[in-house]
Amino acid sequence: MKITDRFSLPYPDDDDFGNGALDLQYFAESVETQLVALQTGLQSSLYTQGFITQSTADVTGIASGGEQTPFGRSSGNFWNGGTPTAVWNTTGAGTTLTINETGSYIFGAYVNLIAAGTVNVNTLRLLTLGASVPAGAQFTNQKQYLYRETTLEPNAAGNGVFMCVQGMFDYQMINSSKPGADINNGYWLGIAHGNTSSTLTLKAGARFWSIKVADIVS
Amino acid sequence: MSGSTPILGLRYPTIGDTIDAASFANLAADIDAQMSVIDGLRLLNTQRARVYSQCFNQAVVFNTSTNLLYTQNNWVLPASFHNTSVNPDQFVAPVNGLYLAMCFVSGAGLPTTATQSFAGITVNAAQVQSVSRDKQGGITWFRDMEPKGLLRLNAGDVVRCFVNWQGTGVATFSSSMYILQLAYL
Repeated sequence: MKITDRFSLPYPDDDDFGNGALDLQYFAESVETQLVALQTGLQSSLYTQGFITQSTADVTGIASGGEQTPFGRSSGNFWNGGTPTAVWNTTGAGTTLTINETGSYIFGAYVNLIAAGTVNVNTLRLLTLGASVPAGAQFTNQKQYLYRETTLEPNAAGNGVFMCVQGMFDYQMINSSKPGADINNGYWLGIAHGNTSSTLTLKAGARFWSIKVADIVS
Repeated sequence: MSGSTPILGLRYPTIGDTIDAASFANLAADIDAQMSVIDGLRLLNTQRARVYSQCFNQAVVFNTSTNLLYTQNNWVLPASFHNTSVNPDQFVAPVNGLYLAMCFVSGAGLPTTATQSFAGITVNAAQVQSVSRDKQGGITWFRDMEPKGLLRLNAGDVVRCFVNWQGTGVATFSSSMYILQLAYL
């Protein structure tokens, strides 16, 4: 029995006794192995894994002044997509997002912030989206990827403000360990505002998403 | 023809069967069918669905969320994704999957009586996200808006982009530029 050079498909050699049925069975089985491998590889690259989480309840009491982090950071809610806190629903194209694999990711967030009480017109609303990748064997210092959007509250018809920010970050696995849940390691949202007369409410329907778009080859 | 492979069902003769032209024809046909499946996946990979459309100078009534009508396709694949003349507000997802949506809505030139603007994305008429801008401390200048995000769509889901100009004293405002891009990832 001989085999082809690239995909090892078998065929009878010159001194083959000519068991045609068995030869064809070997051939069919070998072809199947290669076809399944090709299909699996194509499907893997086609069905990109990602996740979208959406809040299902208001988050109240966001005070003015310094940056507040109602989600992420210390809680690590956003890692691994499948286990966000109770107020987040997760949907995705894959069954489980493995965010802790090396790659380039697009990530983003959308929020609607409404003052719980008095609106201080034309005061600042600031949304920061961050990804922190810890220092480790592959780089010396912690990497911070920050994207930020600012706007002002016009007090128009009680709409509050709608904010949307999106960016990219690269993540390199550190000694095959899963990212932890701390300020230096994970996604996070930061909200700051100057509405001193009342707290803000982050309305239900806020969204956060992430998707791997490329491998990193070192 | 009494045998077949366990996963794809490629047919082959077993010992005792007569091996004839049909034996090879059946196996070849089965392989051909599976290669067609692979070729379909290859096309989906290399020719991923995407659309890049624009609309210009659409009059939008104040204080009313209005779907934008995209009357020019700079790029569309497949053609069913967006029609510039029939329901030009609708972008119909051609396949299940995750899509990156990016909109651009120009607010330049809004009248001084405007107080706020916001633009957003809907899926099957349900708002999923939006972006707002205001008068920037009373200065009559509006920044442009870029609602964007990752959407989980099923084939046939309809994506739209809307704009809402808030204010008084005027009836409508026409922006010079609206763009929507959707790309299957």
